[in-house]
Amino acid sequence: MPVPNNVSDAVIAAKAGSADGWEWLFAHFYPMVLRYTQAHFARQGDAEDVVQEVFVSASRSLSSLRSVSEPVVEAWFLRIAKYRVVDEIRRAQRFRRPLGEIEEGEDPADLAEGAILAQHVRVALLSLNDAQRDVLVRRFVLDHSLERVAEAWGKPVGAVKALQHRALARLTRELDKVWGDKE
Amino acid sequence: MSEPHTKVQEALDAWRRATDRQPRPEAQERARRALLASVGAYSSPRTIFSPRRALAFVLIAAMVLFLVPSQFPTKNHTLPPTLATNEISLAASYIAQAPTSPHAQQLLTSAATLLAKAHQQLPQDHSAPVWKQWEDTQKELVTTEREVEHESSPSVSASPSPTTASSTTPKPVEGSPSPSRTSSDGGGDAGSGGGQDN
Repeated sequence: MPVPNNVSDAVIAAKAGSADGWEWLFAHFYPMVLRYTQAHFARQGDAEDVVQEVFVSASRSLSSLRSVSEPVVEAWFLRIAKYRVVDEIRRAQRFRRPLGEIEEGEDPADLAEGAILAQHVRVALLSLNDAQRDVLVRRFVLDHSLERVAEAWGKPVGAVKALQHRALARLTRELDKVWGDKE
Repeated sequence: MSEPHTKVQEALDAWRRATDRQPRPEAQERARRALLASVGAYSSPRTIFSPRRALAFVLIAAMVLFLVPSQFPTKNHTLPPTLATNEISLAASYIAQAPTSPHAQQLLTSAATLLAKAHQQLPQDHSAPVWKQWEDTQKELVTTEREVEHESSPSVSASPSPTTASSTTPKPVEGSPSPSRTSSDGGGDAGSGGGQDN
Protein backbone atom coordinates (compact mmCIF):
# COMPACT_ATOMS: atom_id res chain seq x y z
CA MET A 1 0.00 0.00 0.00
CA PRO A 2 1.50 3.40 -0.96
CA VAL A 3 2.42 5.92 1.71
CA PRO A 4 -0.57 8.27 2.07
CA ASN A 5 -0.25 11.96 1.39
CA ASN A 6 -3.68 13.25 2.40
CA VAL A 7 -6.24 12.66 5.13
CA SER A 8 -8.55 10.50 3.06
CA ASP A 9 -5.79 8.17 1.89
CA ALA A 10 -4.40 8.01 5.40
CA VAL A 11 -7.77 7.01 6.87
CA ILE A 12 -8.29 4.38 4.21
CA ALA A 13 -4.81 3.01 4.87
CA ALA A 14 -5.31 3.09 8.63
CA LYS A 15 -8.61 1.26 8.27
CA ALA A 16 -6.74 -1.42 6.38
CA GLY A 17 -4.40 -1.75 9.36
CA SER A 18 -1.50 0.18 7.83
CA ALA A 19 0.89 1.72 10.32
CA ASP A 20 1.82 4.28 7.66
CA GLY A 21 -1.78 5.48 7.60
CA TRP A 22 -1.74 5.95 11.34
CA GLU A 23 1.66 7.62 11.30
CA TRP A 24 0.35 10.12 8.79
CA LEU A 25 -2.81 10.86 10.77
CA PHE A 26 -0.79 11.20 13.94
CA ALA A 27 1.69 13.64 12.42
CA HIS A 28 -1.13 15.66 10.89
CA PHE A 29 -3.51 15.91 13.84
CA TYR A 30 -1.23 15.70 16.88
CA PRO A 31 -0.48 19.46 17.06
CA MET A 32 -4.15 20.43 16.84
CA VAL A 33 -5.30 17.87 19.39
CA LEU A 34 -2.48 18.91 21.72
CA ARG A 35 -3.51 22.53 21.46
CA TYR A 36 -7.10 21.59 22.23
CA THR A 37 -6.06 19.77 25.39
CA GLN A 38 -3.57 22.45 26.43
CA ALA A 39 -6.48 24.84 26.57
CA HIS A 40 -7.74 22.87 29.57
CA PHE A 41 -4.65 21.85 31.51
CA ALA A 42 -1.92 24.07 32.90
CA ARG A 43 0.48 21.16 33.17
CA GLN A 44 1.75 20.26 29.77
CA GLY A 45 2.23 16.69 30.96
CA ASP A 46 -1.50 16.34 31.67
CA ALA A 47 -2.34 17.60 28.21
CA GLU A 48 0.18 15.25 26.61
CA ASP A 49 -1.20 12.25 28.50
CA VAL A 50 -4.70 13.04 27.33
CA VAL A 51 -3.55 13.42 23.74
CA GLN A 52 -1.92 10.02 23.94
CA GLU A 53 -5.20 8.53 25.15
CA VAL A 54 -7.01 10.27 22.30
CA PHE A 55 -4.89 8.55 19.67
CA VAL A 56 -5.04 5.17 21.39
CA SER A 57 -8.82 5.52 21.58
CA ALA A 58 -8.95 6.58 17.96
CA SER A 59 -7.04 3.48 16.92
CA ARG A 60 -9.74 1.37 18.51
CA SER A 61 -12.75 3.09 17.03
CA LEU A 62 -11.68 4.02 13.53
CA SER A 63 -14.16 1.57 12.08
CA SER A 64 -16.94 3.85 13.34
CA LEU A 65 -15.73 6.65 11.08
CA ARG A 66 -18.02 6.72 8.07
CA SER A 67 -16.45 9.49 6.03
CA VAL A 68 -12.83 10.09 5.11
CA SER A 69 -13.11 13.80 4.34
CA GLU A 70 -10.75 16.04 6.29
CA PRO A 71 -13.43 18.09 8.13
CA VAL A 72 -15.16 14.93 9.32
CA VAL A 73 -11.93 13.28 10.42
CA GLU A 74 -10.81 16.45 12.19
CA ALA A 75 -14.16 16.71 13.96
CA TRP A 76 -13.88 13.06 14.95
CA PHE A 77 -10.46 13.53 16.55
CA LEU A 78 -11.64 16.64 18.38
CA ARG A 79 -14.74 14.85 19.61
CA ILE A 80 -12.63 12.09 21.09
CA ALA A 81 -10.40 14.77 22.61
CA LYS A 82 -13.42 16.47 24.12
CA TYR A 83 -14.57 13.26 25.81
CA ARG A 84 -11.10 12.48 27.08
CA VAL A 85 -10.71 15.99 28.47
CA VAL A 86 -14.06 15.72 30.23
CA ASP A 87 -13.08 12.36 31.68
CA GLU A 88 -9.76 13.68 32.86
CA ILE A 89 -11.33 16.72 34.48
CA ARG A 90 -13.88 14.56 36.30
CA ARG A 91 -11.25 12.06 37.31
CA ALA A 92 -9.08 14.83 38.70
CA GLN A 93 -12.05 16.26 40.57
CA ARG A 94 -12.97 12.84 41.93
CA PHE A 95 -9.48 12.25 43.23
CA ARG A 96 -9.15 15.87 44.30
CA ARG A 97 -6.13 16.35 42.15
CA PRO A 98 -5.71 20.05 41.42
CA LEU A 99 -5.74 20.99 37.76
CA GLY A 100 -4.55 24.51 38.27
CA GLU A 101 -0.98 23.94 39.32
CA ILE A 102 1.82 25.45 37.34
CA GLU A 103 4.21 22.70 36.38
CA GLU A 104 7.23 22.32 38.59
CA GLY A 105 10.41 23.54 37.01
CA GLU A 106 8.55 25.66 34.51
CA ASP A 107 10.24 28.79 33.26
CA PRO A 108 9.64 31.58 35.80
CA ALA A 109 8.83 33.86 32.90
CA ASP A 110 5.73 31.76 32.37
CA LEU A 111 4.51 32.86 35.75
CA ALA A 112 4.11 36.38 34.43
CA GLU A 113 0.72 37.97 34.31
CA GLY A 114 -0.19 36.35 31.00
CA ALA A 115 0.22 32.86 32.39
CA ILE A 116 -1.79 33.75 35.46
CA LEU A 117 -4.61 35.17 33.37
CA ALA A 118 -4.59 32.08 31.19
CA GLN A 119 -4.85 29.97 34.29
CA HIS A 120 -7.80 32.02 35.47
CA VAL A 121 -9.55 31.17 32.22
CA ARG A 122 -8.84 27.47 32.69
CA VAL A 123 -10.23 27.57 36.20
CA ALA A 124 -13.31 29.50 35.06
CA LEU A 125 -13.83 26.97 32.26
CA LEU A 126 -14.35 24.25 34.84
CA SER A 127 -17.65 25.87 35.74
CA LEU A 128 -18.93 25.73 32.18
CA ASN A 129 -20.64 22.71 30.72
CA ASP A 130 -18.88 20.49 28.19
CA ALA A 131 -20.41 22.08 25.11
CA GLN A 132 -19.68 25.59 26.33
CA ARG A 133 -16.04 24.72 26.98
CA ASP A 134 -15.80 23.03 23.63
CA VAL A 135 -17.11 25.98 21.66
CA LEU A 136 -14.79 28.45 23.37
CA VAL A 137 -11.73 26.29 22.73
CA ARG A 138 -12.62 25.77 19.10
CA ARG A 139 -13.39 29.43 18.47
CA PHE A 140 -10.72 31.20 20.54
CA VAL A 141 -7.86 28.71 20.61
CA LEU A 142 -8.19 26.74 17.39
CA ASP A 143 -9.58 29.71 15.45
CA HIS A 144 -12.35 27.66 13.92
CA SER A 145 -15.11 29.59 12.18
CA LEU A 146 -18.70 29.33 13.34
CA GLU A 147 -19.44 27.40 10.16
CA ARG A 148 -16.66 24.91 10.87
CA VAL A 149 -17.89 24.32 14.42
CA ALA A 150 -21.46 24.00 13.16
CA GLU A 151 -20.39 21.43 10.58
CA ALA A 152 -18.43 19.48 13.17
CA TRP A 153 -21.39 19.41 15.52
CA GLY A 154 -24.06 18.92 12.87
CA LYS A 155 -25.92 21.97 14.18
CA PRO A 156 -27.08 25.23 12.59
CA VAL A 157 -24.66 28.15 12.70
CA GLY A 158 -27.19 30.15 14.71
CA ALA A 159 -27.23 27.51 17.42
CA VAL A 160 -23.45 27.58 17.70
CA LYS A 161 -23.49 31.36 17.82
CA ALA A 162 -26.06 31.35 20.60
CA LEU A 163 -24.11 28.75 22.52
CA GLN A 164 -20.92 30.78 22.18
CA HIS A 165 -22.73 33.87 23.44
CA ARG A 166 -23.96 32.04 26.53
CA ALA A 167 -20.56 30.46 27.05
CA LEU A 168 -18.82 33.83 26.97
CA ALA A 169 -21.35 35.35 29.34
CA ARG A 170 -20.86 32.47 31.76
CA LEU A 171 -17.09 32.66 31.44
CA THR A 172 -17.18 36.38 32.18
CA ARG A 173 -19.23 35.78 35.32
CA GLU A 174 -16.86 33.05 36.44
CA LEU A 175 -13.80 35.22 35.78
CA ASP A 176 -15.38 38.03 37.76
CA LYS A 177 -15.74 35.59 40.64
CA VAL A 178 -12.11 34.52 40.33
CA TRP A 179 -10.91 38.10 40.18
CA GLY A 180 -13.25 39.12 42.96
CA ASP A 181 -11.70 36.45 45.18
CA LYS A 182 -8.20 37.67 44.37
CA GLU A 183 -8.90 41.28 45.24
CA MET B 1 -7.20 48.00 36.52
CA SER B 2 -8.79 47.43 33.13
CA GLU B 3 -12.49 47.56 32.43
CA PRO B 4 -14.05 44.14 32.99
CA HIS B 5 -14.75 43.38 29.34
CA THR B 6 -11.22 44.44 28.39
CA LYS B 7 -9.79 42.23 31.06
CA VAL B 8 -11.82 39.26 29.82
CA GLN B 9 -10.45 39.89 26.36
CA GLU B 10 -6.92 40.08 27.79
CA ALA B 11 -7.50 36.81 29.62
CA LEU B 12 -8.75 35.13 26.46
CA ASP B 13 -5.71 36.37 24.55
CA ALA B 14 -3.40 35.15 27.30
CA TRP B 15 -5.17 31.80 27.32
CA ARG B 16 -4.76 31.49 23.58
CA ARG B 17 -1.06 32.32 23.80
CA ALA B 18 -0.60 29.82 26.61
CA THR B 19 -1.88 27.00 24.40
CA ASP B 20 0.62 27.80 21.71
CA ARG B 21 3.41 25.72 23.20
CA GLN B 22 5.41 23.54 20.87
CA PRO B 23 4.89 19.81 21.20
CA ARG B 24 7.64 18.20 23.24
CA PRO B 25 9.39 15.61 21.07
CA GLU B 26 9.65 13.01 23.83
CA ALA B 27 5.93 13.20 24.63
CA GLN B 28 5.03 13.11 20.96
CA GLU B 29 7.23 10.08 20.43
CA ARG B 30 5.73 8.34 23.46
CA ALA B 31 2.22 8.94 22.14
CA ARG B 32 3.23 7.75 18.68
CA ARG B 33 4.60 4.54 20.11
CA ALA B 34 1.51 3.98 22.23
CA LEU B 35 -0.65 4.49 19.16
CA LEU B 36 1.36 2.07 17.06
CA ALA B 37 1.37 -0.47 19.89
CA SER B 38 -2.39 -0.17 20.10
CA VAL B 39 -2.75 -0.51 16.33
CA GLY B 40 -0.56 -3.61 16.43
CA ALA B 41 -2.40 -5.14 19.35
CA TYR B 42 -5.75 -4.43 17.81
CA SER B 43 -5.09 -5.52 14.27
CA SER B 44 -2.96 -8.60 15.00
CA PRO B 45 -4.75 -11.93 14.72
CA ARG B 46 -5.61 -13.59 18.02
CA THR B 47 -6.16 -17.07 16.82
CA ILE B 48 -3.16 -18.75 18.41
CA PHE B 49 -4.23 -20.69 21.45
CA SER B 50 -2.01 -20.17 24.45
CA PRO B 51 -2.59 -22.55 27.36
CA ARG B 52 -0.87 -20.16 29.75
CA ARG B 53 -3.06 -17.26 28.64
CA ALA B 54 -6.19 -19.38 28.84
CA LEU B 55 -5.28 -20.63 32.30
CA ALA B 56 -4.62 -17.11 33.55
CA PHE B 57 -7.92 -15.93 32.17
CA VAL B 58 -9.85 -18.80 33.72
CA LEU B 59 -8.20 -18.28 37.10
CA ILE B 60 -8.91 -14.58 37.14
CA ALA B 61 -12.46 -15.02 35.91
CA ALA B 62 -13.05 -17.62 38.63
CA MET B 63 -11.60 -15.30 41.23
CA VAL B 64 -13.85 -12.47 40.08
CA LEU B 65 -16.91 -14.69 40.08
CA PHE B 66 -16.08 -15.88 43.58
CA LEU B 67 -15.07 -12.58 45.12
CA VAL B 68 -17.51 -10.11 43.67
CA PRO B 69 -20.78 -11.74 44.78
CA SER B 70 -19.35 -12.47 48.23
CA GLN B 71 -18.75 -8.76 48.77
CA PHE B 72 -22.34 -7.80 48.12
CA PRO B 73 -24.29 -6.61 51.11
CA THR B 74 -27.53 -8.49 51.39
CA LYS B 75 -29.84 -5.52 51.11
CA ASN B 76 -30.85 -3.98 47.87
CA HIS B 77 -27.49 -3.37 46.30
CA THR B 78 -27.11 -2.66 42.61
CA LEU B 79 -25.27 -5.27 40.63
CA PRO B 80 -22.00 -4.21 39.07
CA PRO B 81 -22.30 -3.32 35.41
CA THR B 82 -21.50 -6.49 33.51
CA LEU B 83 -19.53 -4.69 30.85
CA ALA B 84 -17.30 -2.98 33.37
CA THR B 85 -16.71 -6.25 35.19
CA ASN B 86 -15.83 -8.02 31.96
CA GLU B 87 -13.44 -5.32 30.94
CA ILE B 88 -11.76 -5.30 34.33
CA SER B 89 -11.39 -9.08 34.18
CA LEU B 90 -9.90 -8.95 30.73
CA ALA B 91 -7.55 -6.18 31.80
CA ALA B 92 -6.49 -8.29 34.77
CA SER B 93 -5.72 -11.21 32.47
CA TYR B 94 -3.58 -8.98 30.24
CA ILE B 95 -1.73 -7.69 33.28
CA ALA B 96 -1.13 -11.23 34.50
CA GLN B 97 0.42 -12.21 31.18
CA ALA B 98 2.55 -9.11 30.76
CA PRO B 99 5.59 -9.98 32.90
CA THR B 100 6.32 -13.11 30.89
CA SER B 101 5.18 -11.93 27.49
CA PRO B 102 7.43 -10.52 24.75
CA HIS B 103 4.58 -8.10 24.05
CA ALA B 104 4.35 -6.76 27.58
CA GLN B 105 3.92 -3.14 26.57
CA GLN B 106 1.11 -3.93 24.17
CA LEU B 107 -0.68 -5.97 26.80
CA LEU B 108 -0.31 -3.22 29.38
CA THR B 109 -1.49 -0.57 26.96
CA SER B 110 -4.53 -2.68 26.15
CA ALA B 111 -5.15 -3.25 29.85
CA ALA B 112 -4.91 0.47 30.52
CA THR B 113 -7.38 1.22 27.77
CA LEU B 114 -9.79 -1.42 29.06
CA LEU B 115 -9.57 -0.01 32.56
CA ALA B 116 -10.18 3.49 31.31
CA LYS B 117 -13.23 2.22 29.47
CA ALA B 118 -14.45 0.29 32.49
CA HIS B 119 -13.98 3.38 34.62
CA GLN B 120 -16.59 5.18 32.57
CA GLN B 121 -19.13 2.48 33.34
CA LEU B 122 -18.64 2.27 37.08
CA PRO B 123 -21.69 2.97 39.20
CA GLN B 124 -22.10 6.18 41.14
CA ASP B 125 -22.00 4.29 44.38
CA HIS B 126 -18.32 4.11 45.28
CA SER B 127 -18.97 1.38 47.82
CA ALA B 128 -20.00 -1.03 45.07
CA PRO B 129 -17.57 -3.97 44.93
CA VAL B 130 -16.81 -3.32 41.30
CA TRP B 131 -15.13 -0.07 42.35
CA LYS B 132 -12.72 -1.96 44.58
CA GLN B 133 -12.14 -4.45 41.82
CA TRP B 134 -11.32 -1.61 39.45
CA GLU B 135 -9.01 0.08 41.93
CA ASP B 136 -7.18 -3.15 42.74
CA THR B 137 -6.67 -3.92 39.08
CA GLN B 138 -5.52 -0.36 38.47
CA LYS B 139 -2.95 -0.67 41.25
CA GLU B 140 -1.84 -4.01 39.84
CA LEU B 141 -1.40 -2.36 36.46
CA VAL B 142 0.77 0.40 37.88
CA THR B 143 2.89 -2.12 39.79
CA THR B 144 3.30 -4.37 36.78
CA GLU B 145 4.20 -1.44 34.57
CA ARG B 146 6.97 -0.53 36.98
CA GLU B 147 8.21 -4.11 37.05
CA VAL B 148 8.20 -4.39 33.29
CA GLU B 149 9.95 -1.06 32.90
CA HIS B 150 12.52 -2.07 35.47
CA GLU B 151 13.23 -5.37 33.80
CA SER B 152 13.50 -4.06 30.26
CA SER B 153 17.15 -3.44 29.47
CA PRO B 154 18.19 -0.12 27.87
CA SER B 155 19.57 -1.90 24.82
CA VAL B 156 16.17 -3.33 24.01
CA SER B 157 14.48 0.05 23.84
CA ALA B 158 17.03 2.20 22.11
CA SER B 159 14.64 5.06 21.60
CA PRO B 160 13.77 7.22 24.58
CA SER B 161 10.44 6.76 26.28
CA PRO B 162 10.16 3.98 28.78
CA THR B 163 6.72 5.01 29.94
CA THR B 164 4.63 4.16 26.95
CA ALA B 165 1.96 2.25 28.74
CA SER B 166 1.93 4.07 32.00
CA SER B 167 0.91 7.35 30.52
CA THR B 168 -2.15 5.86 28.89
CA THR B 169 -3.42 4.78 32.24
CA PRO B 170 -5.80 6.61 34.47
CA LYS B 171 -3.93 8.25 37.30
CA PRO B 172 -3.32 6.07 40.36
CA VAL B 173 -6.06 6.14 42.88
CA GLU B 174 -5.37 8.50 45.71
CA GLY B 175 -7.35 10.19 48.45
CA SER B 176 -10.95 9.37 49.01
CA PRO B 177 -13.04 9.56 45.89
CA SER B 178 -15.99 11.91 45.85
CA PRO B 179 -19.26 10.61 44.51
CA SER B 180 -19.15 12.07 41.04
CA ARG B 181 -19.71 10.24 37.83
CA THR B 182 -17.59 9.87 34.75
CA SER B 183 -18.81 11.50 31.58
CA SER B 184 -22.30 10.45 30.84
CA ASP B 185 -22.24 12.21 27.51
CA GLY B 186 -20.31 9.51 25.87
CA GLY B 187 -16.89 8.90 27.16
CA GLY B 188 -17.15 6.77 24.11
CA ASP B 189 -14.80 7.27 21.29
CA ALA B 190 -17.17 8.12 18.58
CA GLY B 191 -20.24 9.44 20.25
CA SER B 192 -22.51 12.00 18.77
CA GLY B 193 -21.40 15.56 18.31
CA GLY B 194 -20.88 17.89 21.15
CA GLY B 195 -23.95 19.87 21.74
CA GLN B 196 -25.99 20.04 24.80
CA ASP B 197 -26.07 23.32 26.55
CA ASN B 198 -27.64 24.50 29.70
